[in-house]
Amino acid sequence: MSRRRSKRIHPYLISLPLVIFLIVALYSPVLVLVRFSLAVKPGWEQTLSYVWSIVNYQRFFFDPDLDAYRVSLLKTLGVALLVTLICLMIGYPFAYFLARKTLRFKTLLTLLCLFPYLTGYIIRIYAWRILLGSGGVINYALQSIGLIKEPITALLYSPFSVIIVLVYLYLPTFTFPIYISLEKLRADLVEAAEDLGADRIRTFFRVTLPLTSPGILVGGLIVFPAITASYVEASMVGGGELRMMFGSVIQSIFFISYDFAMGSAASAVLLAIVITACMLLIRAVRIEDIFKVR
Amino acid sequence: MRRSFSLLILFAILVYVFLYAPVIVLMIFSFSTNKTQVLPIQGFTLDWYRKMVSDPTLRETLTNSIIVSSLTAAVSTPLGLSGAYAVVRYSFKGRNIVLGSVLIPLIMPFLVTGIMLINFFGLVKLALSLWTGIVGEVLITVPFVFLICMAGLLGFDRTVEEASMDLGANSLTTFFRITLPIIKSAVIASAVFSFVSSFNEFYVAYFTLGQINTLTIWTWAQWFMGVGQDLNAASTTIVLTLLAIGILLTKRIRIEEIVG
Repeated sequence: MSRRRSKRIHPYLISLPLVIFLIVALYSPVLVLVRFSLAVKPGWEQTLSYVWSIVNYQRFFFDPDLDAYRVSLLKTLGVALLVTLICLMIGYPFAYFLARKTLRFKTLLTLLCLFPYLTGYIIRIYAWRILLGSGGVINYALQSIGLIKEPITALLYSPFSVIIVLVYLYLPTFTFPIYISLEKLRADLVEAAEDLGADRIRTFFRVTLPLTSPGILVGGLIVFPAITASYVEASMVGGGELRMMFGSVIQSIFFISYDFAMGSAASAVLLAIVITACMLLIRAVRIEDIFKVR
Repeated sequence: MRRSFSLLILFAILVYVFLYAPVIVLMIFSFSTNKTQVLPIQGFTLDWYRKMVSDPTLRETLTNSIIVSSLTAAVSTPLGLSGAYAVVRYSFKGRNIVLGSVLIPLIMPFLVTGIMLINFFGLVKLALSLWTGIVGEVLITVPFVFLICMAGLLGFDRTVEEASMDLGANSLTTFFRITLPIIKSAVIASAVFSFVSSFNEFYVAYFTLGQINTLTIWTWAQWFMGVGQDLNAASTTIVLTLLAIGILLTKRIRIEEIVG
């Protein structure tokens, strides 16, 4: 035993590159963000004055002139929640299909979900304009079979288009962790439940769903935060109530007003909300559990 | 039994249609003579592909994309793998901190990641370049590598590692001769995943790469100036090429091996 131990490389040495990388690329920038958010931008100058002040946060939450920020934040969180739920409704059965019904085409069918990613983020949004536009594919098809006379303009530049595009962008990301946890689920547990007389629906809700919930959680942890700060979709296909997401607000504070202090404060608020939500969820389950055979 | 089976397959077909409809529409328009992306199709042409081949900007951005994505995969795969190995195989002080920290970039909104990185680079007077971009892309891909490798490492019987050690191999030899071959699928999968996600990624790349235009950033700029047909053709060609590579890769990796 002691012989074996002495030959082992110390775990600190193995994880050292990763730890250094995280200190440089994650923790330092987060500290800088927090420090900026507590600084003040004096007048029209672009440089910050490095005092310690919570004025940016006060303004963010209470300044009546900044109502738009708070409304946009709430709307964005709502959209993110809605899109995550839709992804769950579609992603779970789809993951179930990939795990259970694909047989020897499993690898191919699973990889097929990844290929659309290769066209790039912007192109994937852009393609939906062709599908949803008033001269677009869907309207054209509906018109040519005589279902509608005038093109449905509400398909594009509306909350509907933002939501459908977001679901499109994040569905595969959500599906994979669920797929993994379904693969990890031992078939004999399901069989045992069925042998003991539970019907399929009961088995699903009492055995399969609870045991695969870590996969759902991880999917949600990846998709929800990503949506809260996405602004490109809304500016390309958005309209009506969803002309602008909170990401656009942050972006405009930084690169239109050049107020890095306020921008950092807005980013920090978003980050705090997202991380708190994730921490509350994570407490319910251990990350390692999704990979354990159950 | 029979009914739910076929309903699920029907549902899955609909999901694939949803995933591929935009891609297919793009491909069709890349061969059309239409000036705008509106039906009906007026005629077919290869002009956009000719234009694409002769367009130096596009070649440059595509090259940049491939360079950025490859370097990202090359850095983040060993980084995430070594971290996952330490966390899975050892229990040490700070293990949970490492585990928690590596997952933070995963739950950080990418826009915030990008913005905090340029603030940081600005403060330490580091000019934005390919390298700052790689740092950004590695930061967002390393959690995925970590998770995939962790799954791989948890998924096999570690007594074979111990047997190797007992027979006198040191930990490095054991890692490269025993562990690595067993989790090969997971390692390949994490490299592929890093490549694909940094190829697709917009926000962090947009902020941290400085003057370097990747395909995604370039298409965003094109979008501002009014998108041309050459763009569709370009993306179509790329998808087809990478699709072929991807299918070839499936012969090398088996999805069940990674997660099972």
